Amino acid sequence: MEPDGDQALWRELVEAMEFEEAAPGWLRPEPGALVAGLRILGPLGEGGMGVVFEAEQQNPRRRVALKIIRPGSSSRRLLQRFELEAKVLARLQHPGIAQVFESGTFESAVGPQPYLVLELVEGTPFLEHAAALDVGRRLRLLIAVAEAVQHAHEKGVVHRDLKPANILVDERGQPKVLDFGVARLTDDDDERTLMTRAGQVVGTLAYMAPEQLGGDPAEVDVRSDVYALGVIAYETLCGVRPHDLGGKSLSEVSRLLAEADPAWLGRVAPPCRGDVSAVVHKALAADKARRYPSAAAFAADLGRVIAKQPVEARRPTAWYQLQRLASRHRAAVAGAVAVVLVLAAGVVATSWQAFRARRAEQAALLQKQQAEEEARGARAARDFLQEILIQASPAEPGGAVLTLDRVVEIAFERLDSALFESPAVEGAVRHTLGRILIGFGRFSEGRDHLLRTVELLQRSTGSSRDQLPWALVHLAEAHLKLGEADEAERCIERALGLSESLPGEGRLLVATAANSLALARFRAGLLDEAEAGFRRAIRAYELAGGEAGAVNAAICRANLAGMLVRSGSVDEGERLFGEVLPELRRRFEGSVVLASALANRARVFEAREEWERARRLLREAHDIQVAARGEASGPAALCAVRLAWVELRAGDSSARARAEAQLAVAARALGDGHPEVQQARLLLDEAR
Amino acid sequence: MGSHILAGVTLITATSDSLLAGLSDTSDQTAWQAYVERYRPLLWRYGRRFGLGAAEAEDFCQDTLLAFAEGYRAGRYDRARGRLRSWLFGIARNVALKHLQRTPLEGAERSRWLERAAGEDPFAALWEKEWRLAVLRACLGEIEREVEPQTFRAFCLFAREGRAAAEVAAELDMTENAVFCARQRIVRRVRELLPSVEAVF
Repeated sequence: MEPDGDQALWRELVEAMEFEEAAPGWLRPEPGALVAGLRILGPLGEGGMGVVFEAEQQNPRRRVALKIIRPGSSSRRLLQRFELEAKVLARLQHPGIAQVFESGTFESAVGPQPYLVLELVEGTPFLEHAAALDVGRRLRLLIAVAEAVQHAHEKGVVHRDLKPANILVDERGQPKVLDFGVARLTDDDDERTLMTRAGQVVGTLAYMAPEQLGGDPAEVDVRSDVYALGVIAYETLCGVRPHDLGGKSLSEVSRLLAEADPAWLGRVAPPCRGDVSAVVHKALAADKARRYPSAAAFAADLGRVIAKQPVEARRPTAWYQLQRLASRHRAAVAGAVAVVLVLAAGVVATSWQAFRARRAEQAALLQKQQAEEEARGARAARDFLQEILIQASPAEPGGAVLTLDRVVEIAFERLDSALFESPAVEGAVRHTLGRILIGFGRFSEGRDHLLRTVELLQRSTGSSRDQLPWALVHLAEAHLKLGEADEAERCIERALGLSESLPGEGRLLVATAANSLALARFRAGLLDEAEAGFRRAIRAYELAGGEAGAVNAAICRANLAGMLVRSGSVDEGERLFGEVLPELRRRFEGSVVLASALANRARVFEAREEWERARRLLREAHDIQVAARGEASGPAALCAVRLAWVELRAGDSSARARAEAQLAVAARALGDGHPEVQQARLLLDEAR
Repeated sequence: MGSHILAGVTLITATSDSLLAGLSDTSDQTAWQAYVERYRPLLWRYGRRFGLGAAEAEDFCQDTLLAFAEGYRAGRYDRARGRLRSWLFGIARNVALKHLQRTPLEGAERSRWLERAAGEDPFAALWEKEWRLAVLRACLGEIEREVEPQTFRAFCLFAREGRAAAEVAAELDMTENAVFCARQRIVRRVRELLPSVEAVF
């Protein structure tokens, strides 16, 4: 006898198995079974739309694929639609489309089952096949797919679920598109369709056009298939899909597809720079009106890429024609194009700087730098480039990304080609590019270009070596932005060593970079490094000379003095203040620069508890602040708090009320959380 | 995939957690399929149990899985708040109610379900039961791969088709004793496997 527990479990198992026959989910005929007059050989696959079996047809005798379509709920209407659509599908006859031989319905345990008998395609998965080909052959394969899709479109059938998984390549290299029209066969009512499809094809959202996720089936047309072809082309050419949809919800995917431009193909896959990218991105436009109107148009443009003819995806702009010209007469125009490119980049930088006033001086420097190269012809070239950049409207395919990505990409194309016959020219272009990238906040890319620039310029001879210190300063700037202070320091040291060859503005720039470095060190709390940095900056400003050099050197000295006092070297700080203050008084009469320096010097006497001297300095600083900024301003109030605190320390107990009142003023002006306000509060609390 | 007697039973190689992790990646179709394969039969049976027709039960599965996927990706599944079983139940119950309300009433069975829908008990009890049966089926799926086909076949004829031991023995050319042994062996093995399968389901 079996134990009781086993008996109970046995009964449960019997129940678990009883239901099995009635719960097919999908109809799953066993091999050997006869379904719709076909003998089942075995399962081929299963998807949201149904199950596919390999089967044998008797007449004509051949192996076929039997696809049993998933039945929807209100099946009557669906079955009528199915019959209609299946007839249309049977009319599709193209070497690139798996042929529909037959369609119908048969009765099964779970009701009427629609089915299709299809050409059995044996082949390699599309992406796997494509991976072994060079770019040219991949393009030809994509053209073949697009042509098959075009055939279906002409017969009124939109695929709506094109994806690499639906394409096999047979042994002759002919791609075969599967599952045409199947998406439509299973449509029930329209609202459900999207839901169902979204659930079923979770893995294939990546190939769906934005309008397919929008909820309006009327929006879906042949151009949705063009979009899918674009995604397939993108993936085929570079191995990744244009959008990373990982971990995103349906609504996020929807928004992403509609709003974000995919990463430019030419940047992801350098061999695809230029026309290929332009063509693929035109197919991928989020707005279907901007895509190719047909799969045939897409195929034709891919054909032009292979034939090296101008593509439709690119407007026949003067710049584009110039590029074409250049590739045909490489040697002759090489120099000119290189110069033009530098100027083009300059225009971009300049137009951005229009929005960034603080960069205006750099633009001026840039133009000065370019002046020697700027022949009369080049100026004309710049005018038309400016025209192109201004005209780059979002209505133009790829236009929306032209602002930076396109210009940079065009530049990359040139960098890659043999156009730069000398490292000096390449260095100049990279230099400009690097600065633009930094201007756009893409610091690490910019840094890499500038690193290369420095290398190139070191190798070059003649006058272009003059650019080296500039490049080093800009590189230092990038390093600083990236928090790479040590690298920045090395660049600045080298630039300083070379800066004798620079004009005054150049030396000033080196000095400014040195000062920025010192401030960065100071903020990071690295006082020794900051001290060395300020001394270096002072040297650099003195070397720069002129009025600006002298003024800045004085400010730098005052900063260094203040820092020394704060770090405890009170006597040395005071000595330096003693040296620099007369000059500051002369140059900055009534200026807040002087006020800051005076307030900093007051710390010397606070440290020595010489309250009266500290009070005099703070009184003077406060007067200047009030005159310059007003009594209720933050700096004036903070200065007043310090003043009252000193008076308090000196024994004037009535000063506490003044200090509290001024602290309230400062907090109002600067906000309670302002670090200096908090510091001042701490100071008062300690004095209790 | 072979032609197993328990068609549609997935190998329990993945934990429900790892399946869920895969689902958060929209492009991971394998995880989605494995997930659907594991839970669709359970949901289908559940739908049938409270009176949905075959096609309706299909729709019920689809809607539940879809609501699940959407909810999961929107981050509404909090692992800390309970097991997958109870979360999926909450969704299935809501979808089931919608289906029952939407479809025209046919027969006493359905109206009884609607009347009782206000109380959770019938739904919950049914859910617990179906979950248990699904876990048992998963165990059997594992065992089918472990044992001699003959042994499993005997078990199926015995359990699923309710045939007499002598009849099964004759058909499979075994002794009657061997048939009983097969049955006992599989029941014991289910008992052994049960805790680990339950833990990952």
